[in-house]
Amino acid sequence: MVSPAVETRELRVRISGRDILKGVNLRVPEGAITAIMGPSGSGKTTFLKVLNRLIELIDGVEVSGEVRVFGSNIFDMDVYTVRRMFGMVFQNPNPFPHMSIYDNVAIGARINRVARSREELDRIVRWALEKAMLWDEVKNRLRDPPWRLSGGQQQRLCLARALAMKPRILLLDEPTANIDPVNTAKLEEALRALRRDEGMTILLVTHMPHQAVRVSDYIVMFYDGMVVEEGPTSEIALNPANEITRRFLRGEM
Amino acid sequence: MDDRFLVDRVFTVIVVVIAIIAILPIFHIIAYITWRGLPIVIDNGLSFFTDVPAAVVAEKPGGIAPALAGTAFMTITATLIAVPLATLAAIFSVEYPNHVLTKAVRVTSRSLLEVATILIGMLIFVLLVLPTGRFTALAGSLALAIVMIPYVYTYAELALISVPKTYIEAAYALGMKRAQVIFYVTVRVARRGLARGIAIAVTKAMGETAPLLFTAFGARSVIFGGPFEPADALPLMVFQFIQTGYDNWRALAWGGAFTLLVLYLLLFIIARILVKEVRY
Repeated sequence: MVSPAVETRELRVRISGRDILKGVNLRVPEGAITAIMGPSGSGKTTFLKVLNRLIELIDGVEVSGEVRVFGSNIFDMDVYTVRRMFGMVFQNPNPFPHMSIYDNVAIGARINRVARSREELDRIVRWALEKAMLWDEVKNRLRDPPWRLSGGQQQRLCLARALAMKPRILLLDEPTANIDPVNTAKLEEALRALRRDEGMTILLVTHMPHQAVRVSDYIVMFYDGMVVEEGPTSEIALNPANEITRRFLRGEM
Repeated sequence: MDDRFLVDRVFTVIVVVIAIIAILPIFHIIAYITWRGLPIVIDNGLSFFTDVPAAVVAEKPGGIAPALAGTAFMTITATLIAVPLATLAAIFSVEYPNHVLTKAVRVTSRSLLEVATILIGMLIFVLLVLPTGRFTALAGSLALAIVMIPYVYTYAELALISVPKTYIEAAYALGMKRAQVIFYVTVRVARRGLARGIAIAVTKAMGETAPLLFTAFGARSVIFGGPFEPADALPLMVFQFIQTGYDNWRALAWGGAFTLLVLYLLLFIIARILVKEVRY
């Protein structure tokens, strides 16, 4: 395995006294797409939200264990610095409803002071929209409100917003769960291109085995708050060692 | 088999009739005040808004300028005091829902909504008018501000709580600090609800008589004497003049009531135009 972008040791999460993650040990390789598979309630989303410490917004959360991102323990770092290393796309498209398409993308760059001038900001917005494969569809209506876009376009807008903050790692939480097949294909294509052209490290949570097989280099199988199997996609897709993974891939879960 | 259609018909008619009965008083008030007040405003023209009330023996009624000026001054200053305080309190309660202060603010605000506003006037009378020895426009502003605060707070809290959590999560995920999330996202998504609360509180303040009786007191001979002098207000003027036996003063009261009505409508229309609804 390549050098890890994210490494967790004995990561445990309790929310209001319930164990959600029960000791996760994982190494996420840099510059690759890692799919996190598993049935609902297996702790996939919680795992993502621990990485950028978004989990701390919830009351009554206890996190123990170690999370290292590019070698540094995220719990020793300033929480905002941690969040700025990650771009996140959520399950339901959530572009800011009061901002234009342009501002939705620009806000990430503005908050994180990625751009120093108006021209640079324009360039970053365009770059992010191109990388999200949305530029051609919105370039003539950047001032429109986001509700004029379809759900799939909105989700790619959210991807562009995350990219504009120039994150080192991209987290996607079932981004295509509520999106039609054509838009799903576009988003998957955008993810593959980001990995190929930008060397982006991508963590994709999905409950669709086909999607994991289509886009990922590595697969991690979550079940009941634990990692039951992990490895290169080619091996796991063809020859899963674990019975749970096998049943999940066959669509029996 | 046709029974259920009949029952449906009957209930529809009953519901419509009840609805009409329920909204009838509003139309009655609007129509009656317009019928009595509009001719007076038309007869006197611009001077109705720029003159002081005439003497009781005069033929012309004069104007309502002191009441208009006093209402403008006291409503604006009360808004400037109440809106920031109440909005900040609402932001605090939404951000720290379990804090002791939040619980205290909620209880206080809810009780304040129920308190007879004349008691608020008496509070300011005891705290400000008695020690300084004079009725002032500013005392009226303070009393109106206290009337406004629970309204602004209640509507603001509701508006802020209704902002979908997914936008707040997205904002934090971008690395925004708490103050940035509040300023760039929460408050802006909630802007229509916030504006609605402010508009309702302003109309409430514009229409209040009781808190002004012991604070601003009323003034008829000068248009506006400054913040440290007694001041008049539209509802106060209406309340006092309608009880007199003088026809010209009663005419001023009807014209003033009509003016107040128009101000209400203007305020809500302006608020609707200025603050656009956020569509999700």
